[in-house]
Amino acid sequence: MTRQILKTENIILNQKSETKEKAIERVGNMLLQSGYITPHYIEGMKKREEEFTTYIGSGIAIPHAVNEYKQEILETGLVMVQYPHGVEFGKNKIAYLVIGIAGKGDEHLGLLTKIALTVQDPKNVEHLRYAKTPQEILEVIEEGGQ
Amino acid sequence: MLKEEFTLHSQYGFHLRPAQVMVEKMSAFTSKVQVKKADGTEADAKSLLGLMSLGLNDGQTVEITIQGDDEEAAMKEMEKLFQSNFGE
Repeated sequence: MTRQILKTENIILNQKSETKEKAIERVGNMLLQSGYITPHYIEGMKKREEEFTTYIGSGIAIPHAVNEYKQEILETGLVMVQYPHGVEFGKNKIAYLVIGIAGKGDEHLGLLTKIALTVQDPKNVEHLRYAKTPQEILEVIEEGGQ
Repeated sequence: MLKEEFTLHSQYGFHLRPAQVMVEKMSAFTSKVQVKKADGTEADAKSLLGLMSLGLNDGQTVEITIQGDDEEAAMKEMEKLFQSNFGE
């Protein structure tokens, strides 16, 4: 079994809506506290969002830094914050799950693939939006990503 | 219908930015554009989530199929995208 890239303690549920800038800082700080990144990486995440949004559709945003900040990643890891009332990433771009990504190699791509598959079904998006436990979120992604 | 194979050269894999570039460029055409991986999984080149769910990585080969009125122009654009490594 490989190292867990998205740990249950790194899934925060039922967060109150806030601006996308605050949401990016929040997931950035979670990545920092888990030892995945240096503080500089968060600047790179903000830069990335200014250049082009990390909202990917279906109520999901995946903030991460521009490539120039890759060296600020210490270890690959993901963190997730659930916003049942959403965070606005742009016009008609409301994210219910904000997933912070620090990807050093390609070990996180499998999980991202699963997430992309899962949220193509609106039922799964609803389930993730209102899930009550981190375990429930991981299960939806595990099942939806098959 | 046009069909062509491309190999992905991207040191960071086919992550979000290249996928966004592909969706953006291909959405300008009316033709249907499909991306197929060696294992048979397929995605619409105009769907960001579809492309992301392919989980493409550096060095992998994909088959691009384009069908429609502007298929030639779309294939030319696709060639440019792969040659430029999606502008990275």
